[in-house]
Amino acid sequence: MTTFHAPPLAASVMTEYYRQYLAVAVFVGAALVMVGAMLGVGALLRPKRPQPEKYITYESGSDPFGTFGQQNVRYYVYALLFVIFDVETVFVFPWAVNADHSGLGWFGFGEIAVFVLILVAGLGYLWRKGLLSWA
Amino acid sequence: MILGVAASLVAHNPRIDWFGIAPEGTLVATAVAVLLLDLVMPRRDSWQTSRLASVGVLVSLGFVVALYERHGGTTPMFGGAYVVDNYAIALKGFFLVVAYVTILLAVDYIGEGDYYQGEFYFLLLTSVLGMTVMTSARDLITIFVALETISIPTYVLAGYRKHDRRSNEAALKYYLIGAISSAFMLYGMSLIYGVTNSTLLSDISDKVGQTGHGKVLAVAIFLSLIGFAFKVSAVPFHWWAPDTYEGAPTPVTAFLSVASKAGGFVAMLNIIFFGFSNRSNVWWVVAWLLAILSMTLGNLTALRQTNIVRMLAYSSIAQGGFMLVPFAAYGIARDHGHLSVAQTSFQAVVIYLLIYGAMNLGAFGCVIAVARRTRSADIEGYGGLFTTSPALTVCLSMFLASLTGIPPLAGWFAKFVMFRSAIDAGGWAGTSLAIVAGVNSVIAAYYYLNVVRTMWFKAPATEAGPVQVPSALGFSIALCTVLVLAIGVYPQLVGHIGDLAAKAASVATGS
Amino acid sequence: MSHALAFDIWGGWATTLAIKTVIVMALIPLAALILGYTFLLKMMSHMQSRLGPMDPGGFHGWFQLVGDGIKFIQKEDIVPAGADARVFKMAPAVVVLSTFLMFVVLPAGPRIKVVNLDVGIFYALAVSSLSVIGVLMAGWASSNKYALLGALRAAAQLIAYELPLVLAVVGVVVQAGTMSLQGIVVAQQTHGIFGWTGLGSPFILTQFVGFALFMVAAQAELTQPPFDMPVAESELVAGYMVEYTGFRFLFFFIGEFGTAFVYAGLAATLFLGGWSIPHVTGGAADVLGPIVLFVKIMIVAFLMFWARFTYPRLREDQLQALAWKWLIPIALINILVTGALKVAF
Repeated sequence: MTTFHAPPLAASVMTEYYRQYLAVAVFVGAALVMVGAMLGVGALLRPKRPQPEKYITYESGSDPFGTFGQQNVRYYVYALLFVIFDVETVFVFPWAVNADHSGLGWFGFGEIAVFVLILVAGLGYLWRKGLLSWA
Repeated sequence: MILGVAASLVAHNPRIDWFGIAPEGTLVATAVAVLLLDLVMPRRDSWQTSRLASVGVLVSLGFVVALYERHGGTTPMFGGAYVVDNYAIALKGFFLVVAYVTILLAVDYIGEGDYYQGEFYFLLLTSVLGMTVMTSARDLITIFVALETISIPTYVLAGYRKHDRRSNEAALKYYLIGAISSAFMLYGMSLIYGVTNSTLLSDISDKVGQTGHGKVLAVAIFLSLIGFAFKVSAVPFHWWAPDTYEGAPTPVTAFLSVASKAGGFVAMLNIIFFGFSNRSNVWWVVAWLLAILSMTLGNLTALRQTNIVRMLAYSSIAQGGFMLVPFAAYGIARDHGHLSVAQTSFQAVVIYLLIYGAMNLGAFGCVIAVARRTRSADIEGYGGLFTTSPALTVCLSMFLASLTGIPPLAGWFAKFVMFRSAIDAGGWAGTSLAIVAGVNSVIAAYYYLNVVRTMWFKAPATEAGPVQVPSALGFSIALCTVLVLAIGVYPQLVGHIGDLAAKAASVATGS
Repeated sequence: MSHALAFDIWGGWATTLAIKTVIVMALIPLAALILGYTFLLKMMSHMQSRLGPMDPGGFHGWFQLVGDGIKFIQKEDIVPAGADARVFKMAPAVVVLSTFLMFVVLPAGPRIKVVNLDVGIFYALAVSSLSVIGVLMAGWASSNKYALLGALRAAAQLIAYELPLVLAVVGVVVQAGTMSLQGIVVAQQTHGIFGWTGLGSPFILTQFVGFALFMVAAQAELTQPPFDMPVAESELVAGYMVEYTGFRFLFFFIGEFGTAFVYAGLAATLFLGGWSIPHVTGGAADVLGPIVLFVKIMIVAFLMFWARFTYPRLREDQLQALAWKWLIPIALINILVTGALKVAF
């Protein structure tokens, strides 16, 4: 709950900032290039002798049956839990960087303690309601 | 080390008025305590959580009263994003009373059905927390966070009868509408931030007052208003409301139609009066259209309803239209340069909200009581209610008459301040608003009084004994009755609160 | 080109970046091979008395890895008939991409680094979870019951252990006061243990709980035993990888071992002082730093693989219970205790 005034940044700082993430972007490209190159080299060396049996879904040697759609709904609960907790961890990091005495101090610690304790209360609730057990 | 702790508290403590946020702090603590208490309680004792919840609400209310007694004036926190002035205090008190009455309405309904009890009160308290924060919010982000804190628990509450398809439909519709309205609102807010480079309403008000960015600001304000129009179910963004109100458990419907709606109106008050005042030429037309459409369509549709909950849902849309009248009036007056109308129109919205809360909650209380016997909400089922349950009939008649606006019940004063703001605004726009509001009051009288007629003069549909009213429900109905009567006879009760609020607001707007 | 970056000895910024990119491109398969050879082939063979990998080529089976490589090269590239071909083909690339991006922030010396992001560790953990998407893509697109089951198990596991992983790091961030990995290394180098600066102050001393949590969670993130439910050979054949052959399978292998290398590197950097040697700075640190870091990585990796070859597999419910009921609460307590001590002293 605070207000945001975009602070003016020096052009050189922004250039530096963009360059760092440009490096990340270059690495995305590099990874794809490496995958492509290896597959390209592989395509020159490997054989290709198509037979229909090779393209059958593998089910330990027996003929595959049915479809593969149904899965346990429990995974959905874990996914929801994850979203909640992961978003909350994002809020912990800004405090962590400024946690010390000359930064946010006891006030910040009090804030984060309340935050984490409410989080723990939520976890305790889930635990008690049996959502963490593989029932 | 202790000295170090003390020193660091002094050195790094942002200026926080702990007393000022004590009501909210109490609500947070109570909500968490309710949730944890429910975990350790055996299932058959979980109704006890309602006690804890109501005690928490009352303690919070005590802090609000103490804050009013403090006479500290406005207390800005977080760089002006959070202000505890008399306007905020008055509405905090309103929301907490509504929360208390809702708990009373719900305790037997929730206790007797097969519901999760602790979670119900937890969600209710969380929503109320959002409302109390909203009253103090003077910043776009705070407003948005408060609005979501209000809304998200109510999505769950609307679907609380989870084995009932209509309740599921109610929750889903409400949720989807909430998501859409948030999207509109956020888009508008992001444009406002883009133009003004601030999320603080006071800064926005200054920047908006300067020339330039006309088209972008128009789009931004328009989108924000549409978002709020969804929240307060103003026509033509109202179509979710009747289904949601009918499907949700009735105490939740009472809460939605009073507290949740009021939360939306408070957000609108904040953003329009504190943020967009200086661009009234953009938004008064929108407010004017929304007001006229909501009053007319809400009332005409309410005429045709045979289910009393749906009737009250449409009537609350129409009442929302009445509450939009002062907004439009303020915009019109500002456009003409009558700055004095700011006070009366602000006052009118606050007063209307307070009175509407008392009478609508009372009406829903009676509906819940009657439904305990008839298990339905058909208006036909109210036939001959007077012969079996005279006291309840008198109360419900009073609430309906008050909703109509008949003196000496509170509703007349709400209508009076609303008309006054429209007439003060003047011009063709103000006059037309007043005329439409007048015609609509007459239309509304027909369907409200039709229920009264059914209760007093029709023969009972079935042979049935008197309605058994549990003590909590009875107390809440009695409380609303007393309020409606007292305010009607002595309107200065809320008039004073409205004055205080408007004075605080005029400090903030500088008009 | 401006000279804003310190690492400017080869001229332009773009050239520097290109060279770094090529080095990392070579480093990732190399890292996977080193870990695979040292631990998977040799250490496991010794620990479990496996004779096969000790045989080819005579001395200690040195030819085994070459033979494996030749085998992968001459495998046919098969896309099952029922598969969603495009997604199927993209999935291994996404997994490798995640590994690649994690390398970006790992520093090996004061100037031996790709970039020093302000949000370094946060970024590394964020991109590490990209692999979940790759795994889900692989499992879904394979049109195979084993694969989908494995992918869902993997996703549930990766997201469950993502939380303790991230929370374990918070303690280090609190102590160092920065999220930049370079900053975390320097913080460990410059501080001492009660005034004695001979070892610097590796955070494992104060953050042992965090270190333990990080190692357990990293083990689960790598789907290594005892957390290998997603690829459990005896139940799911190979889980989400079951339909992959040849190079595409190899990419999963590189992803797994490359990521193991990075996790070991992160653990070494966060808790063991990274490349730092107390009182050694400047050019000498640039030369010695990578060596020090490599030794530390091998020590951490040894611990990881030791656990991998020792413990039996957990059941799926035990696996989830461990994350949610033990690791996350412990991590939260660790954060609060660390924070309180940090503010107090």
